[in-house]
Amino acid sequence: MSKFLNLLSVILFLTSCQIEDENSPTPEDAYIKYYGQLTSYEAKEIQVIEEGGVPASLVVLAAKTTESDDQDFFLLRTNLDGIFRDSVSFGFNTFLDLDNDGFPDIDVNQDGDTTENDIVRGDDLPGSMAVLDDTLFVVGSTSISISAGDLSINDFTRLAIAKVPLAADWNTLTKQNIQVFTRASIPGNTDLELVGNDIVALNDGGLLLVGKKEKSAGGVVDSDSYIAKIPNSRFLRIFSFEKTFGVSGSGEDEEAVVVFEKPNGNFAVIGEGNTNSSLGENGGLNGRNIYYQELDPNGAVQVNSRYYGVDDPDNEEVYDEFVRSAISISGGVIVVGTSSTSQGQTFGFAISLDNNGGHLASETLPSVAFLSGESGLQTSFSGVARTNKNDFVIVGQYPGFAANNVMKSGEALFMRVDQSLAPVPGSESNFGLSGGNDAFVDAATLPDGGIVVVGNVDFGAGSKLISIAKLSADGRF
Amino acid sequence: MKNFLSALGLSLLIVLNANAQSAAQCARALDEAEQAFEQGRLLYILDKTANRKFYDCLENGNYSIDEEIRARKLLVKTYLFSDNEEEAERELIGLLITDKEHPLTPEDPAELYFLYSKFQTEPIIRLSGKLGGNKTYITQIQEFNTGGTKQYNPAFGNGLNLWAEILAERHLGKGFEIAAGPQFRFARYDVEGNVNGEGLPYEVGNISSMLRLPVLARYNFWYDAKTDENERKKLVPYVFAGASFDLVLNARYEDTSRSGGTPVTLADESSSLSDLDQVAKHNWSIFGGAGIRLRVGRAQVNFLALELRYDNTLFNYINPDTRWDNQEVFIEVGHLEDDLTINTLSLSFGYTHSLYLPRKRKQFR
Repeated sequence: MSKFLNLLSVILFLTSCQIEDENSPTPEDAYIKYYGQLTSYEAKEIQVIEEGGVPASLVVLAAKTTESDDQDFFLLRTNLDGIFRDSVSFGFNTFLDLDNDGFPDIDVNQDGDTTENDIVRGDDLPGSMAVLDDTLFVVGSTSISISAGDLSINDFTRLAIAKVPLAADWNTLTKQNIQVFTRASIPGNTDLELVGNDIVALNDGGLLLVGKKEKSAGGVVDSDSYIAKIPNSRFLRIFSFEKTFGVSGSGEDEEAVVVFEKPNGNFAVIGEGNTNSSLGENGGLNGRNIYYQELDPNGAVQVNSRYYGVDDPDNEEVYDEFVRSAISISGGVIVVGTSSTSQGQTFGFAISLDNNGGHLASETLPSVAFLSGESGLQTSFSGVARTNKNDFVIVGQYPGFAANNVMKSGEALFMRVDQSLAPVPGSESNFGLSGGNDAFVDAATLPDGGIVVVGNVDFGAGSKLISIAKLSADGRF
Repeated sequence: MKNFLSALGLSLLIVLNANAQSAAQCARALDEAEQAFEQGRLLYILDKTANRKFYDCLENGNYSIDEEIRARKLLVKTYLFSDNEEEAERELIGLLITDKEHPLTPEDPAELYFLYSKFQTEPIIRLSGKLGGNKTYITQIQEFNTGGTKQYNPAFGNGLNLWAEILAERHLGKGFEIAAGPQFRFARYDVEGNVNGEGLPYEVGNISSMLRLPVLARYNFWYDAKTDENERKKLVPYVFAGASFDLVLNARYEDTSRSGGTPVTLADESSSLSDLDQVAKHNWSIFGGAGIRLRVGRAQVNFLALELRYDNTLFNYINPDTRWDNQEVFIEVGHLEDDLTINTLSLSFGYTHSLYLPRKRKQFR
C-alpha cells in the first residue's frame, strides 16, 4: 500500500505544474477597469501624479451622483496599473456666504438667525485639478438651489475650489474633512454665475484659475472670461487679482476653458467666444469660435489675441465651436473640442497653435474609419494627449454609432493624429456598450508610452461607472 | 393448431433429450481418454477411430468449456509424451484460444511447462473504453480583470462535462503497461463576477471540446498475484501517468450574462471563442491517477475499471494576443479571461478487453 501511495504522490506532484510564456502580455501592458458604486459618475479629467518625483498614480476627477440625488466632486486614485487605491467624494456642504465675508448670510433652517448651522448643499461640477506642494487642488463650480420660507434661490452657480492632501488615505477622508470654498460672481447677487474651469499651479507658488463670470449691466447679463490668482495656496479665499475679459453686450459671451503658464510668466488662455476671426484663415465668421489670449502676469490682456473657428460660407450654416481640452507642447498648444452645426451635427475639431497663438494646423474630424453614408460618423472630442512619438491621441465620443452593421448609442472614441493633426490610418477605434451612452473624456501618457484614457461607461438603469483603460498609442489593448 | 403445438412440444423434448444424451456421452468419452492417459495408453487417445466420440465432441463443440479445456490439454500432453511436438504445439494453440492465458497447475508435467514457456500467452493488445465525468479546476497564470470581483466555480454534472476515450494497451511485463488512444473531452468552467463589486453581477460559462491524444504508462499492483486457491487476484489496483496532445475543436461562451443596470445576455451561438481565435488551438497536458480493476470473465483476463484521474494542462488555454477582441464580453458583460490552464479531476468507468494471438515466441520459431 505504501508503494501505491508513494507512486501516486509522485504522479500528483508531476501533474501540478504550468509553463508560463515570458513573452505573454501582462495585466500591466493593457487593461480596462471599472470603478464606482451603483450610481452615476461623470469623469472629467485624468492626470498622472508623481510621488517623490516619480510618476506613481492616476487621479481621476469626476462628478458623482449621491444618494440624496445631488452631485459631488469625486476623486479616484489608482496605481499606474489601474489598481484601485482610494477615492473620496466631497462637495459644497456648508453655510452660504453670499458677500464673500466668511460668514453665513442665509437663514436656511429658518430659526431666526444665520449661523454655521445653516447648511446648504450644492450640485458640484468638476472643472480641473492641479498639484502643488503635495496637495491636489480642485476647481469647479457648485450650483445651489434653496427653497426655505420666502427664500427661493434656483441654480445659483458659484466657483468652487477645494484642496485634498495627496499623502492622506482618501478612503478615510469625509466630506467634513474637505472644505469646499466657494465664491460668487457678484457678492449678494444670486442670479449671476461664476464658474471655474481650469486651475494650474504657478512657478511662484500660487494658483491660477480660469472660467467664466456673469455680469449684469443695464439689465443685460453678459458672460466674460474669468481669470484669478491665489498667491498662497494655503489661503484659498485670498486673491491677488480677479479679472474678466471679453466683449460686453448681449450675445457676446466668452468663457475661458484652459490656461497655461508660459515660460515668460505670461498666461496663455484658451477659450471660446462669439468674436469672429479677423485672420481670414479658419475664419470662424459666425457662431461661437475658439480664442487664444495671452495675458501678462497680472492677468491683463497684453498680446496675441486670436480667434479661430470652422467656417462654411457656402451653405450658410453656423458652426459653434466648444473648447473641451488643450495641452501645452514645446511648440505651442493643441486644442480639441466639438464643432456643432446649425443642422444639429457635431464634429470634433483639433487645432494646433504656436507659442504666440498663431495657426499651425487644424482639422475638423468626422470619423475616418467609420463612414456613415458618404461622410464620416459624427464625432465629439473632449481630451488630447501627446504620445511618446510626439504625435497625439484624441479621445471623445461618437454621439451615435452606426457602422459595420452595428448600431449603438454614444460610443467612446479613440483616434491618433500626426503632428499636422491628420488621422493616423488604422488608429481609430470605438468602445462601449450597445445601449449605453459611453464616452472617453480625457487621456494621458504613461512613462512606458502607454496611453491611459478615462471614460464614462453606461451600464444602464442609472449605473454609469468610471472606466480607466490603458491602450497603445494606436488604440489597441 | 392444437396438433401443431403438440408436434412442436414433442420435437423439443426429443431434441433436449438427445442433447442431454450427447453431453453425457461426451463427458464419458473425455473421462475414458483421461483414464487412458493415466494408464499410459497414448495410442488409444490418438486413435481417432477407436476414440471417435472424444474427437467428435471436440470438433462439434459438444463439450462444455471446462471439458474442452481438459480435452485440449489432454491432447497437448499426449502429443508431448508421444514425442510429437509439432502436434503438441498446434493443440496448445487450440488450448490457448479456448482458455486465454491458461494457468498451469503444479500437477502439470515439466514438459508442458517447458512447451508453454515457448508460447506467447499474454495478450498482444488490450482495447479499453472509458466514460467519465470531470470536474474542472482553473489555475490562474496571470489574472486579468476589470476591477471588480471574480471567482471560478467548478462545474460538475451539468450534462456537458463528460469525456470518453479508447485506448490501445500493451502489457510489457511485470504489471507495466503502456497505452495510447484518442480521447474526446468536454470541459467547462464557470465564472461569477461583479463588474464593480456590487450591483453589476455577471456569469460566464466557458465550454470547450477537445480531441486529445494521451500516451500513458501504467503500473498494476498484484498483476500476476494469485490467491491460495491458485486463482488470479480479482482486484488489480494501479497507478498511471502520461502526457497528452490536446486539440481544441471548439470553444464558446454559454450562459453568459450580466444583470444589474440594463441586463445583457450573450447569444450562445454568437460568442464563439474559437471563431475569434481567443483560445489556444492546441496544448499539452500531463496527467496521472489511480484506479482499480476487477478481473471479469471466465478466464479473468478482461477488466472493469474504476479510475480517478487528474489532468493538468501545461500551457495557457487563452490566446493572450486576442484577449481583447470581443468587446461584447469585456465591455458589455465586464469579464476578462485570465491566462489560465484548465485542469480536470475525473472519475471514469471503463472496460478492457484483451486480444490474443497465441503463437510461439519469436526466438523459438
